[in-house]
Amino acid sequence: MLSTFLLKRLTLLIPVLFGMSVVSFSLVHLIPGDVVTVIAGAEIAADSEEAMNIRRSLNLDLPLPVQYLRWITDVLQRDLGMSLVNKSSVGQEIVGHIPVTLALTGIAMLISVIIGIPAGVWAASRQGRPSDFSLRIFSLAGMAIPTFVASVTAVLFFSLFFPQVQLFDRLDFANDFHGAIGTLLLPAAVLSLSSISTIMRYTRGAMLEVMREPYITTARAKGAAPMRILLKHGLRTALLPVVTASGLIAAQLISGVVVVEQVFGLPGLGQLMLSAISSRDYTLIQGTVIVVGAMVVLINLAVDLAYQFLDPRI
Amino acid sequence: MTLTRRSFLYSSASMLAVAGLATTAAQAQDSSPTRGGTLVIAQDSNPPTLDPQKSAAFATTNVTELIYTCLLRWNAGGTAVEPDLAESYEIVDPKTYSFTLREGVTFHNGEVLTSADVRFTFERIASPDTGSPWKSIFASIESIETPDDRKVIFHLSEPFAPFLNYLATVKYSAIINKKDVTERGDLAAGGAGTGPFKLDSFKSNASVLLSRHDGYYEKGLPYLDAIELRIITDEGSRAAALRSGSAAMSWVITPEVADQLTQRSGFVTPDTPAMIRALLIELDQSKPPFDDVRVRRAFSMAINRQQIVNVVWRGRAAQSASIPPAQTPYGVSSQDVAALPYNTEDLDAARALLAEAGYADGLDTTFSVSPLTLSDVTVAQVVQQQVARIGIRIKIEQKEWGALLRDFQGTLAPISMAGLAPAPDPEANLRVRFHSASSVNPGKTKDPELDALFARGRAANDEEERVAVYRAMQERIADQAYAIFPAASPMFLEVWSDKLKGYKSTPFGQRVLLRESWLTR
Repeated sequence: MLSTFLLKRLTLLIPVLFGMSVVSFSLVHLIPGDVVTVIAGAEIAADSEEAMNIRRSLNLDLPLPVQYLRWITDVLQRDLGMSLVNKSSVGQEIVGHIPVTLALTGIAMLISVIIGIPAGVWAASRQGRPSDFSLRIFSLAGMAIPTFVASVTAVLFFSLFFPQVQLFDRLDFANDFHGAIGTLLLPAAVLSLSSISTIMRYTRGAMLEVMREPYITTARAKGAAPMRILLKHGLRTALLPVVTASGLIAAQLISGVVVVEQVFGLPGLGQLMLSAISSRDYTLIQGTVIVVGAMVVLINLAVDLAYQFLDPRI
Repeated sequence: MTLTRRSFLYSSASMLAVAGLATTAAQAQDSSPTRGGTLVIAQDSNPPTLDPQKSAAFATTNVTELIYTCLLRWNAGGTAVEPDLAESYEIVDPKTYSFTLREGVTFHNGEVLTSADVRFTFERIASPDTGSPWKSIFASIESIETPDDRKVIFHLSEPFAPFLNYLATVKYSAIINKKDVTERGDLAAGGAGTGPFKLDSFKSNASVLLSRHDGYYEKGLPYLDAIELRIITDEGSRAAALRSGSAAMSWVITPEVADQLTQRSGFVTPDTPAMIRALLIELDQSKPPFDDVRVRRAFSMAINRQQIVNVVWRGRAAQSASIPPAQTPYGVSSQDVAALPYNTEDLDAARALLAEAGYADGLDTTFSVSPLTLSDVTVAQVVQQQVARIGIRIKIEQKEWGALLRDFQGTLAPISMAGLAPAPDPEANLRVRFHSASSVNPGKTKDPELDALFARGRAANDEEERVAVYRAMQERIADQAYAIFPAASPMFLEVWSDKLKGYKSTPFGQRVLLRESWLTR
């Protein structure tokens, strides 16, 4: 049954990705300005001989539908094409940039769960008391501070008062894995600010609801230990909505990563996409959009699967 | 991690120096260059490609000018060209230039430089298949003769006075190796040059690693073992990287960020940064209201140029005519800008001219500008306030850079503004903007008098005569108010750690003098 479900969801992936390819292709060509101007600079006119040569060499002189067909045929053969500006393979560019983004969102997600869930449970268990109140204030603040403010503040703070923290070290996962993870810790912490708060609030809300259920009263009546009631009976059920939220949060983290990568100078997918957009590198933009889109869709799929595991009734 | 530890040791060493314990040792090291060390540069943008012939991007040139060299080069002050790969040259007649190459120059791939490489370089630019933006610049090269391995003779179809200036600029004329290009097929990921540093690796959006070219032809140079350009696009983060010691060199644009850095000890900035980036406000002369010279002159007289310098750049800029003052000897100096026609603020005269042109009640127009360089928007806002005093009501439209370029080139807005990238020759920027035959002429200027001056400027090989021609051109542009030049600023403010010795900023923002710089321990 699980496999038919999986199959159904995976088939659904195809029209989603196809739609995304059409939208990203059209959007990219709707951005004013074009790659030729960016390559040739302000001194060369868009209709000059030089510009025409560049355009021809990049196949941009073909009609748009033909360009799309050529591109999508390549994509279907698992070839995301070549960057228009530096002629490197788009696939390789993405593979080169994806580890930073995955590590960053992964660590941020881990931090959010490790802090958010216990904090939520704790706040729920002391509902209405000052500690619950102050935690909720903190979480509100965490959600309210935009990522760009938090990251700029963090960079400024650490460079002024803790210059020994090397914020801009080169990332080298292959030779210095621990060093690279260490460098990512602060950016990941900044990135997780709002997701910690979100997870905490979801956990708290769900816990409060579950703790009012009759079966909890039953457990209390039969004399189960309070800790056991809270974690075994309560949390297990309360986790369900939290898992859903986590999927949304992970998708949100991937978008927040653009800002954090920019401020901390990290070479991830967000930076790749930004630089591709500013140089109008059409194939590179399309490639990254497709990959990021696929990541978000896959995360949602994983959430659905986790649901099945946590609550077999669905 | 070694790098981290080393930079930590550097900073503790400098703390000792401040305490007066290691002063003498540090001073002794200052006076004589020492070899070794890696210089980390916080680089502001990702080089889109490393092919010197295929990109106008400044970020590309930042890297290629460390890897490649040209037949000639600029002297340290950026005022005159001097021999580089060519040990000598001769202008046989205005249409024939002859160069003799240095002996024993090797490329990074071990190949020896010959005249065939020089010829190949310019043939590649001229080939339509290359798609080089520089094709028309070198269009006057008719043929290249290579009588022997060390002699190159260029035959031009017409006199072209700026030729040597272009030949001295890596952006346009980096000499590449024929064998290297044939083997690689493309130089986008880097190639073999003759410069002081060779490319080790380029990871886009992350870093460019360069290391010393042991076969570099200036004996003993460079001193640095390696240079790492780490790409940090956010300006505040670049400043933070400098402060924390993660990087020892960078540049910033926003005056406030520059102030934060220069007020701290341990950093060096040039005393007098070259005012090389002239801002140009284009007025569309093909349509009303700016087809009327009286409206343009009124606009020009409504501007208080010194106020723009003071408000926008806190004085770190200068008044400028159409050639920036740093482009000596051609540019009108800042003090003399006010003496140009209609360049002095005079609101009454401006109002009178506007009324005469039929706009006694003022007029409404739009101004297109890009926040890519943040100060550009501030300039637009100050200009908006200033011309409002005579009744010109401006609506500012902020555009993303690529979109602004389209507006600017296609004259899609009545007023648009862009900064002029520094060019090696005064004619480059002016010709593109004001020659009637230019396809990037955003103001749609058609002036036979200017065209005649352009022709004279190209044909004159005597510097004195060229200066006279370009001064006349600046006078004419100001008189007709074809465009408004609010000010010239430095391209950016270069900042480096005082541990880097022997380095000097150059007017065009080239970091070529890193070949003579060294790091103290």
